[in-house]
Amino acid sequence: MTDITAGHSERSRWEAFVYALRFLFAVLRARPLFALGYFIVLLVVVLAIFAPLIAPYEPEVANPVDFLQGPSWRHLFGTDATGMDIFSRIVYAPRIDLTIALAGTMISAVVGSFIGAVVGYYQEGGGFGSFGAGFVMRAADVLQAFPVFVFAIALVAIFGQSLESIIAAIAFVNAPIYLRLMRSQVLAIRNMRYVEASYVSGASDLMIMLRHIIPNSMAPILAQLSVNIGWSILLTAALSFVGAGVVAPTPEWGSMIAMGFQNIITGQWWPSVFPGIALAVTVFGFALVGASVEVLADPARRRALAGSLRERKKPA
Amino acid sequence: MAAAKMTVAVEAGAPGSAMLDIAGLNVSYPVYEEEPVRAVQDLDLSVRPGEIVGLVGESGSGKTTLARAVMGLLTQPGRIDDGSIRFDGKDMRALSENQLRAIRGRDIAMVIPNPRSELDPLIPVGKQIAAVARAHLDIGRAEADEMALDMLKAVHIPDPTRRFRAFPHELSGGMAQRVVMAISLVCSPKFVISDDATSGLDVTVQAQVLDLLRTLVREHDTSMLFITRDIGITAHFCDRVAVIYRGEIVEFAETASFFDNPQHPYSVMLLAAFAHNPALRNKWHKPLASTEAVAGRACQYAPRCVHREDACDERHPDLRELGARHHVRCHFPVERVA
Repeated sequence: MTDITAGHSERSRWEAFVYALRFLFAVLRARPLFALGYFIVLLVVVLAIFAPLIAPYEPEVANPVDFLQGPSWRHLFGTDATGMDIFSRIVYAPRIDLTIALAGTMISAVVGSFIGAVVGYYQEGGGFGSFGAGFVMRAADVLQAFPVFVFAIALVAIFGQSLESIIAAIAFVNAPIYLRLMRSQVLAIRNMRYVEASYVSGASDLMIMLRHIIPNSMAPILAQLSVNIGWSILLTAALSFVGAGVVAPTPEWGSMIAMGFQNIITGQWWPSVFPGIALAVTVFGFALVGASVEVLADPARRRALAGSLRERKKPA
Repeated sequence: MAAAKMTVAVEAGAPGSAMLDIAGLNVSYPVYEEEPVRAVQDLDLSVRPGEIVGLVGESGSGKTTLARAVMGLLTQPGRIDDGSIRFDGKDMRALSENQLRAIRGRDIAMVIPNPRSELDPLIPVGKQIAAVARAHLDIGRAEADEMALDMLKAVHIPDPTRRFRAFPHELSGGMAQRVVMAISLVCSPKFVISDDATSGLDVTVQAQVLDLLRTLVREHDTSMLFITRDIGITAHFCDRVAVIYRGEIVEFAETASFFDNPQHPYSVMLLAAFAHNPALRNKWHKPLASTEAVAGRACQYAPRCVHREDACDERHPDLRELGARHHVRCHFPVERVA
């Protein structure tokens, strides 16, 4: 009897935390690509938070005397045509890019998967539920039928070129992905025997949905989330590149590439190439994290991975 | 534990005292542009407090449909056409969904097969037991956890404190079945429906699990409807045995009476199928067992019956009481098996 209360005590929770941490490190040792992904994402987040400490110059202050300087010790990545320090601007950029991407993706994930869960749960009931589900799905079809990029530009054009409207555009474009993903998951999960068993033991619809269906449908959503954040950063940059996104002096990778690309012809490659590399590496990092989350969110796959870790130790 | 201790002897056939009383139940599944499939036909069945009734039948005989009808869980498009289901004095068909939900898991529990798929893969099994207790009993988290742990001990799971935190994929089939039993018994229900609960287990584990289930049911003075396709199990396990064929009860008797003197040719065939003597097996089994639909009023079993006579094709037999509480639905009940 006392054991069970010990299960909730502070000490065992701490032990569980230590165990989880050690397990994570073991996984990272065995899967270096996962480690690389986490390292990149962590680096980008650190850059965003500590940008003022890391950046040697103000990101939005132009120094016309030092325009288009090549990479040197004074300006690590050189300066752009207006004389702003490119390294400082790259360091500051994740503040904008990550905010937009995270907010846009989170909104679309929460709204999309909630609607998807409801649609999936009531789709097979017949009557009004099926009709409503069909309507929602066709609406999602229409949303997805638009070319993503044109749709996003149109939204920004309508709502104006502000941070909020870019976030809204990204949320709108991504929501159908989560809606479909969640719906297909819920359709499969709701026919599982444990859902029925829960119903048989007297659980309400809401309880079944919250306790059984949504947690069991989350693994692909979580994996999609990370990939999608990377993809949203790309979309933000692309919007800025064509001039529909973040406005000029604000440090943002896409607009930096756009500002610098005329200079490539005349041989000054650094204003475009460095933000481009930063962008590519960041997106790659989020994709790797997505792959690792997919494995770690599923207890059975996590267990299989843990088993393979243990076996690898034996011969050594 | 269960409130009032009642012995089987107390009730003497008074209909009000039955825990579950099914009368004239008809369940059908409509089929497009055809006659509906009548899965359960004019079925009467009662289970007394503390009694274990076995329900034996082959695939498609209506066992599961009956169980689901009792729980109010018929799968679409099945529907109850007629008849009454009274549980503990309450008319189950008249209850609202909310009232049914309060009864399910609390007063009636159901054990369905494939134990592992009945457990949510993301929740530790102890928590799943506790969740059912919390949903029905007015208790806190710690108390529910304690009840769940007690249940894990009661179903003889080795190292219960560790298993409490185990995920379903970490358990063997036998252990998962024990957990499922713990879930169904945690609220000390008055009635348990076990639908083919042991079908996925090997024989040794099955014997242990059944033994345990019976002990627990007896301790809690719970009644049980034990649905199975294995007639052998019922001999040791049940107080009374009902044989269902094509949605009809064809024989219903005390276990001893049933196995001493089975009277319906179908029951005899089921028993003979287990016999080691091939001559006995063949004697009661038609090699070309027809499954053709039985027209109109004939006996349902006539096409497969080795004792078929003209009367079998003309009149549908009623369930008659032959001998002490031994009911048989046959015009020409079997006198001697061998």
